[in-house]
Amino acid sequence: MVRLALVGCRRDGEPYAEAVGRLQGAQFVATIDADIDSAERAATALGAPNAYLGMEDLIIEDMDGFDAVVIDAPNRAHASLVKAAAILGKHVLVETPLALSSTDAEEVTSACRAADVRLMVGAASRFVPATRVVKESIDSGKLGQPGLLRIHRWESRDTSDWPTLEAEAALDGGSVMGQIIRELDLATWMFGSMPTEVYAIGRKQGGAGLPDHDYVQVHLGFPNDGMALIDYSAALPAGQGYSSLSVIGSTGAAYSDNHQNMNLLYRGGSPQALDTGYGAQHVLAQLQEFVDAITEERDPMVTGEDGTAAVQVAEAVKSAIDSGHSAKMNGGSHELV
Amino acid sequence: MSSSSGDTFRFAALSAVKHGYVPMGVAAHPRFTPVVVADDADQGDWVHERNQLLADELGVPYVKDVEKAIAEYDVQVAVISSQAERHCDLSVRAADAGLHIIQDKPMSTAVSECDRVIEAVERNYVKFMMWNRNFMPALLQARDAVRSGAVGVPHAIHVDFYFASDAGPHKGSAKPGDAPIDWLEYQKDAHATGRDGGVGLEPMGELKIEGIYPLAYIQMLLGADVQRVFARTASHFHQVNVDNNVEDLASVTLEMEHGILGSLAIGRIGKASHPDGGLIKIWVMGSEGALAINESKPEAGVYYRGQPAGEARNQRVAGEGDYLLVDDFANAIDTDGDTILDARAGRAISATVEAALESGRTGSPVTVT
Repeated sequence: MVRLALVGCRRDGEPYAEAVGRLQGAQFVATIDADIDSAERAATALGAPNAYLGMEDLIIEDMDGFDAVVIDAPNRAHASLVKAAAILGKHVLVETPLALSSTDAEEVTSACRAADVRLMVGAASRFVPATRVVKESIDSGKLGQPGLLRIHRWESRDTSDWPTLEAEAALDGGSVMGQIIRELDLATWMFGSMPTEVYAIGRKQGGAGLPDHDYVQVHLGFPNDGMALIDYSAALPAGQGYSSLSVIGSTGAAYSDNHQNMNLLYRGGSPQALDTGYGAQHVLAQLQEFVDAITEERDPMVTGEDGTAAVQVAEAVKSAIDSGHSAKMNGGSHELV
Repeated sequence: MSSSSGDTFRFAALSAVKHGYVPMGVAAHPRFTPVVVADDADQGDWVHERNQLLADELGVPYVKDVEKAIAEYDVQVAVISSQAERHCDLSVRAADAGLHIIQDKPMSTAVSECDRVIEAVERNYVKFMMWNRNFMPALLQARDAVRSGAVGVPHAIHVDFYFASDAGPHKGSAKPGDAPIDWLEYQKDAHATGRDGGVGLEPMGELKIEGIYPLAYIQMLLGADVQRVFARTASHFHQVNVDNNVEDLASVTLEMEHGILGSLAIGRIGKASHPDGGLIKIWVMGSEGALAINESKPEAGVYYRGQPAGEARNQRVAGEGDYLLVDDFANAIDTDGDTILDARAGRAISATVEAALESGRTGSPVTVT
């Protein structure tokens, strides 16, 4: 049984709580958060016997009582927590981004390799069932050479969340490093390579006073004439979000769109659309993959190198937004042109 | 020439080597009567053959002299569906003869030609409309939603415009020693079997051939000009595109007036890549909400044993778009108003396409001029 410790309980253990009952070969044994109340709520939700105020407390009390950490702390803490886990010899699942800079991402990846611990970067988007169908269709050759990837992801941010957005922008990477990096990871995964060209634009749709863009549009070029269009918005009114992903290949195409997954509710007036959704399947699949990689002593599906690549692309996106120029791959990095 | 409200208009089909549906669509409107098909005498035999076929279908004469036909048949409207590089020349001549004009897309293969049309149309006070799809039911629904304020102030728009059709042999099918596929010969063959395409001497990629449709959607829905573009283009599917160095797949980032952003994904993606002929979707984001529109609605599905693989399972069933488009043109004549897609709007679209092609070549953002 792999014993997991959740580090960072800002979401009180959600969304893992929905998945933990079906997780095989692992269980949560501890939760850790600087807010002990959050840690205790998460412990209850996850069925973990113990809640701690900090990593030091867990190490002192029960160093040998856990095998791996699942890091869901603020982004700014990711790199240091991963490094600490490696030093302790604990396997790590860290939510994206792996770090806020590619330098830090490379460093912690190397640290985990040197310590021979499994490092998995959380990329739950890869585990969404429809996304997996699309990827499998690419891998099987059904779509031929991928040509154009299109992703939309829109979500809402309540105005009461603006202070959080401000904190994120200042410390946690903002819309690019904190949000659209997930879609940048999907793009490198679908094309199997780093983009050769990066162009991006950001907007503050919610008002010029926002500390960061709440709308980002990215245009990537890939080898073999591949291309990707990605847009992320945090500016939807309060309520459910929208996502869509499609890949057009040389011999076929695959489409995954919330639009296709709508059912109708008639309650007088115009019908309402009901999104059938996936529940927590993707969270469970990601956790299970982490556990299996540990027990099978292999690299997980999303490695530290993958996480580093996503951070590199995000850095290029930020440069493109800030400069208004496109960036091209030169050597191992993107340079503005 | 002027016409009072309710009058019928006598129209000449000036060359119909492609898209016979344009003059047929006009002829289907009760206020438009075809009276002649005409073209220049120096055109090739294949042009005259196609024109004669259209004339037979319409039950009108075919005259190998454009100006003579206009004069002798008391023509009031020209419907132009020639090879793409002749579009503007015929439009200018029609305007100088005092005719209102419906012209097939693309507006031209060169932006400078578009400027000639604008000058001629405005000097002669005639109406000009590019053939378009803006009256499809789903587009009207999107327009109404945007106009009603349902999404608030628009700030982003995205369009996917994919035709799931084949265009001859697949990319990579050429064997060593094979001659490049001749663009015009391929297009003539494609139109012999009714497939869409870009008939003309000059090879054209999908941005030129079809780009007007999605860019016209954007114009109608948001009314904002495109100011700068960043594009990627590729010959990804078909050997004819590879051989003629024109794209069959393109992605374009659009930076528009009022800070509006957008994107366009367009391609002739092969018959296998969609069950119903292609995906056309429009997304609009605004200050108060967002829209996701499937342009093919409404539709009906039919499935049966032995159904050919290439037959669409879902068919579009609202066929009013062409009627409403031609009706809009008639109304513009009646009221001396604007058409839904006039010469200046057509020129703006051509300029956006040219900028996108340049961006695809250079790998840098390009300002639209």
